[in-house]
Amino acid sequence: MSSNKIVLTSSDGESFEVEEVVARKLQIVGHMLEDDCVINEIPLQNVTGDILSMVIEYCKTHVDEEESEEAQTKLKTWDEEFMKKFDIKTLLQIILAANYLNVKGLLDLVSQTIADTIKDYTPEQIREVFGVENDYTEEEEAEVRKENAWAFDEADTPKP
Amino acid sequence: MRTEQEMNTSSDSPLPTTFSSLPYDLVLYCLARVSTLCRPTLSLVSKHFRSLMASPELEATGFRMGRSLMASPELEATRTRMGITETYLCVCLDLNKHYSSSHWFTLAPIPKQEKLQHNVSFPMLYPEYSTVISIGSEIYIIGGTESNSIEDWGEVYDPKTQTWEPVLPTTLDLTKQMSVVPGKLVMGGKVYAMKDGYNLRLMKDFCLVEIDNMLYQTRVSKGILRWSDPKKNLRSTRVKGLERLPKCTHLTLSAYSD
Repeated sequence: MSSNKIVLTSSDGESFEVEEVVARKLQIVGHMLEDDCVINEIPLQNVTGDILSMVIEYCKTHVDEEESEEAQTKLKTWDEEFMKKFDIKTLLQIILAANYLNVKGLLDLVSQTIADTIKDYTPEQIREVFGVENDYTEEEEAEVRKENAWAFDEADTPKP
Repeated sequence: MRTEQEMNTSSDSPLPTTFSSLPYDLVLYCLARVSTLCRPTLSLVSKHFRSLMASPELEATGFRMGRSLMASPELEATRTRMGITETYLCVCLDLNKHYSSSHWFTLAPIPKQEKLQHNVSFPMLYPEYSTVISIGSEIYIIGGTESNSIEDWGEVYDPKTQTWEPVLPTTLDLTKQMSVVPGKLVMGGKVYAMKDGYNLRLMKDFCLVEIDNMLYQTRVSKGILRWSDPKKNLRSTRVKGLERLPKCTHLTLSAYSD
């Protein structure tokens, strides 16, 4: 395994020196290294230092993806704890960064975390937390509610 | 090393921080992972959300029943690409004492509550003591009829298209070797009591449902749907959210994956 160091620089000028194997977890970097193997400093335009540092933290932890069940369980626990650190706004920035830097595992992890958050929320909470504007009129909203009455009906006895 | 507080201040940056401002494919990527049973809630968030949830073709044909569970083609394609499947629990209940009116209900968990909720029901007419079994995304109803025509011996229901098709039982391998009811014979999801040698008597009160290759025993007793987990010594527990069933409810259960 190469112990070559690569410097990653964020859009706001913050630099992170990481091992090449870690940097290669960012597929965008992996492709650059394949094109020209003498690069040792890589500017990353679309990601700020604070977000990049979290992506790097994820990549460092996932650098040796062992097959064993024990290792997988440990990683899964780490992933869960890692996700708990962030509020939704930060998660949205991490998912953008994971997409831009092309870190598949992190993209999956964050999107699943967002999906898990969404599933427990009411429409009002989703609007508030995710910054979505309600563009329904009262009548339209009532109509949509009526269409899916089963989901909003409080009655607990089935009515065929 | 940064502190957590510093990490969370990143929301001050000029980058987009609302869900709707994410690139379209990322929005789909997240929503594809949300259960289809959450779609009515998501449809209520905004018109944009609703357009992601509902299929325009279905809107056009005025196809109402179960529409909310049908995603837009893009969302459905994303789910397929990501290999996302879900398992749903269906209950078939005959709620009328005087004539047969069996209906199927897909049960949806209510967020943060230990309760189940029914969604749109789909009616069916099937022989009273037939065998119900789910294979993949479809529900098969086999046997239980006196008809001489093989075409009447089985039906298959596709919850996605909400259509019934006849099925020839001879073409299916329904002989799964599973038994979790001690002292009883289990065949094709039905429980049989053994008496006097090989005379079998169907136990009408019991019904088995297969979830994750495990059979769970269910029964309606005094208007309460009860449920036994084989991992917990078959002690029966009440299924919350389906209280107040008529006493003579005929029960059939099935679970299907999309």
